[in-house]
Amino acid sequence: MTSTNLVDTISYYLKADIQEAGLDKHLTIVCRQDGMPVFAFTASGESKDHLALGALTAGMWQAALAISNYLSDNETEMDYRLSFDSTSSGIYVVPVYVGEERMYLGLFYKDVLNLGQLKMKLRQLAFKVADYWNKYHKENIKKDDETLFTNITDEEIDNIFAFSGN
Amino acid sequence: MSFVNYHTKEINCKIVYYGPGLGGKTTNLQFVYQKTSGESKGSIISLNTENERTLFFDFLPLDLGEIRGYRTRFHLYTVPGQVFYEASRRLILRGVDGIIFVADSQLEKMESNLESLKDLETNLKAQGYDITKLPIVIQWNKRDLPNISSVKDMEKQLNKYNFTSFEAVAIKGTGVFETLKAVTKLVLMNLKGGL
Repeated sequence: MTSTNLVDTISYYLKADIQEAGLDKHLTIVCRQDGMPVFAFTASGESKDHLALGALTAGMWQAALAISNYLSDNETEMDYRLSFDSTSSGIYVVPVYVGEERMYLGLFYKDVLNLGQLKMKLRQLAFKVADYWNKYHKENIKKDDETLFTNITDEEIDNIFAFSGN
Repeated sequence: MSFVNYHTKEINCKIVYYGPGLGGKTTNLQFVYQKTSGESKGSIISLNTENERTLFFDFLPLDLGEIRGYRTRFHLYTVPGQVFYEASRRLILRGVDGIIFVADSQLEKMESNLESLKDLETNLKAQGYDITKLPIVIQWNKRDLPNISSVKDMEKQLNKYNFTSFEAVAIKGTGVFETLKAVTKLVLMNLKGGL
């Protein structure tokens, strides 16, 4: 389990960096290996389903990694970058360590003149994510193995499924 | 590998529908999608082959509202059931919090059910999970068909770990939410706290 204020930590630091790097008109997402997004930001106001993007980004990365591992086992996951682009739009994903957890930092971009520069900026952001987390991790995180809930009743479960009429 | 944000009081969990090909995993997900109101459901994502078989996964985020002050969101996935998609199944199990094993009740599908269950055990082990400690619910699907195994026989052959099980006709919605509720409860009870 990730028990954390990770979302707040990353959001706080990353938003400023994204704006400073001029990436804010694109959509930046950080998601876990299981596809759960922990951060998504764009200043464009464009509305996207971040949950779906997280699931697809993680799936896309893992599928690409599995293919790559068939070909060569010399590279580690952290050496890879995933790019899927045309001349006018695309996706660029890099892995990032957040504490002990490996995540994916993805950029969904459109209308870029200097794609190489954009990708370099995203790689720099990946290093910053790891740095921010490490700093925060040392200062703030503690975990325990207590269960969050005990004795959840059938009525409580029925209540959260009430929307379905079942 | 659930995700709890204590600051915003949000819980995210991952549920995977597992089972043999054409057993009804995607049908379960589609029924949940149909019956869920607009505010609670996100987009359903299906990565299919041309003939509508699951190629990589189906995905449906489900916002379940609040339980004890925590906003609860479940991420529902299905795996491709066909035998040769084993690599995909292994990837989708990554970070799973609970599993619904959808077994096909037809007599001639018993072998496929057994093979899929064995595949699940192998893949969970490869990801470092102990199948006996993970929230798992079994669904005996297609109970409306004529040529089916008895529940007793299916329990004997497929449920050696005594997981909770439900009869279902997913295409009509029978048993779909009962199964999902059962695994939801197990997953929530299994959540670890901290911070």
